[in-house]
Amino acid sequence: MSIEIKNISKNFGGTCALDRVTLSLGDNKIYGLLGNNGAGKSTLLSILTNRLYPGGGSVTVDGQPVANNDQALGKIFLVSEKNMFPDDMRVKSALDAVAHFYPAFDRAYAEKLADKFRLDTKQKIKALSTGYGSIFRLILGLSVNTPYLLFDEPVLGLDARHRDMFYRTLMEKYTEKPCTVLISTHLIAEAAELIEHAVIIRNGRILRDCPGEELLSGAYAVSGPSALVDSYIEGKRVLSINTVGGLKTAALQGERDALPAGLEVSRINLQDYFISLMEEEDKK
Amino acid sequence: MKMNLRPAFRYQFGSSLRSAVIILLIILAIFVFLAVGTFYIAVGAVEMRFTGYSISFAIFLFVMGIVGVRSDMRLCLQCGVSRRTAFVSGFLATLCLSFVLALSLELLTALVQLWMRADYHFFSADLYQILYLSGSQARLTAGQHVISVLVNTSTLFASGLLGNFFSLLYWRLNKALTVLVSLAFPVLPSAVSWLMYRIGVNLKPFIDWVAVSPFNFVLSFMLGGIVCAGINWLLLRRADIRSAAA
Amino acid sequence: MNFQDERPIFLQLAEQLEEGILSGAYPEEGRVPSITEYSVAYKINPATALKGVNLLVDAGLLYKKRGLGMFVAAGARETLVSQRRAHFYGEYIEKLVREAKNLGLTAAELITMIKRGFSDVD
Repeated sequence: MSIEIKNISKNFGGTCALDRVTLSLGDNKIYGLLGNNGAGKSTLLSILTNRLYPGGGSVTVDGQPVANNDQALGKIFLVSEKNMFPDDMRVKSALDAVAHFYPAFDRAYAEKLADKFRLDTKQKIKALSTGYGSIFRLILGLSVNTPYLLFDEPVLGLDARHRDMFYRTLMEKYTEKPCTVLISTHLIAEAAELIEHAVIIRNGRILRDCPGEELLSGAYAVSGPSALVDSYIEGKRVLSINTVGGLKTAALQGERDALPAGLEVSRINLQDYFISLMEEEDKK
Repeated sequence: MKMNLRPAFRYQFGSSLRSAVIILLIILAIFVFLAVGTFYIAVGAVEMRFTGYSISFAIFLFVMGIVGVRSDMRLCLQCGVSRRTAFVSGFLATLCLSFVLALSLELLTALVQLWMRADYHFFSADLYQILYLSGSQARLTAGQHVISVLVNTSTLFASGLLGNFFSLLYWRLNKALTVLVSLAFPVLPSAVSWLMYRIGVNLKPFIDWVAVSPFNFVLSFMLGGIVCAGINWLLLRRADIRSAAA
Repeated sequence: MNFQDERPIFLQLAEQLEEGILSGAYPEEGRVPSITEYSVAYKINPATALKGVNLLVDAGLLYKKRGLGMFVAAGARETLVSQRRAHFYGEYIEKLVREAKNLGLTAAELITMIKRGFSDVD
């Protein structure tokens, strides 16, 4: 049971938004789709839900092609970055609509969350602030109970407290009713520990697609006096280098050698890894 | 692949019916106002006429067709309904809405005409009566009411799909083409008539044919609507469905 | 949970649980927080939380009661204390002495300091 994305390409005018993207999502895991703005995350999610047609390649949900397929599309809920409901619709009516189309939508739970986030369901969607617009869509996603739940930049415009509430609510929901979740974001640090499987996308191409732990297990940072660091990193795969005064920090990937005295090694977190990887790619 | 039409149809039909009821109520209010007005105030003085009111609904369906098709597509895709299902259910919803509105208008007309007497100086007639019957006939027969329902249904249906067409056409066009197509519209009638003149097509026999019988009218409007729907699907088939907020 | 810490989150979680058992915050035969509670409280993936908790299960410090959750095993505190005693020299003394040597402190000075620590620290 999985969403299988095979060789998806998409061009907008002359520019290539996605280039032969192949990806598999399933096993009730939490995926992180990580990439800078414009990397192709939203385009990929729109193709997954048949809102856009790819230039080439295929998407299947549990073995069924997604194009014009109600069974396949009904298993996915995409919490879009922007509103897809009529602007003058009230939040309440939007909840009604989602309940009408998704039999598993938990209306009572949605109302409870609206209460918790203090979202006024009598308001029109267009009257909501950016933050509350996001909250409205997040609540739909948290209550809809589909086997596949995709979030496109979920915390956009949310203040720190609401972000915190969202992540906690998502974990509560996920541990109670596991489903395959994908969080597409450029705010990596916040989501890093939620993610079990990381997919890094850049300029429409998948750079990394593996369990978060595996991604980081080969990566480490070494810091110390410049000369020492320089000799240590020779012949190694260097992701990035930072120098402050005489102190140099290098992010590396690969097997670790015995560390000479005077150097310190530290773990790289997902965000540092991501930044280092982007820097490495920039140089190409 | 099986289409799950029911929820989409119920949503689309329901939401458009809710807006239509408002117009129906306004027309009802106009009827009551005019009828009561002529009866109590202007007895014998002036004759009040209220005719062709199904045009209001035709315009309503046209505008709904423009506004509704994009927002319905967005909502359906957000709610796991495919564009094909949303399109087919939208087509059926337009057809059913046209019929339901035509039927309710006819009931209204029938009631008013039944209640009217010659000395009330109030005359009400809808499209079919104006186009195909003499203006002096105060009451339609049951059979004529049925034909009137068909005429109105086909008019509303075609208007709705034409509205969809304009909306979808402009949805697919980029900025430059939008300007170009908009500029082309005023030129289009003369260009088409010139073209038809050149290739020797004469529309007059067709118009005469439509004028002969209301059934020809119904047939041509229904066919027009269906052809329009076909073109609409070609426009929608690969359209990018995105949020309205750019 | 300190995400700046260089060690993986599941190790930090396991250590935190051990500290809880040692301090008596989680008494023997008492329930420890569930995977859900951990993942919600620290905003971490439940698989990570499970990995941390399982370290202690495998070490026999925690056990599972079906449908009730995770509980601290009898004798868990004792086990932890003897484990930590066994590692005390390597974990603390060696580091302490190395730093003392770097700073030029003598053994006698260090011993004096340790004695002072014993009287000052509760």
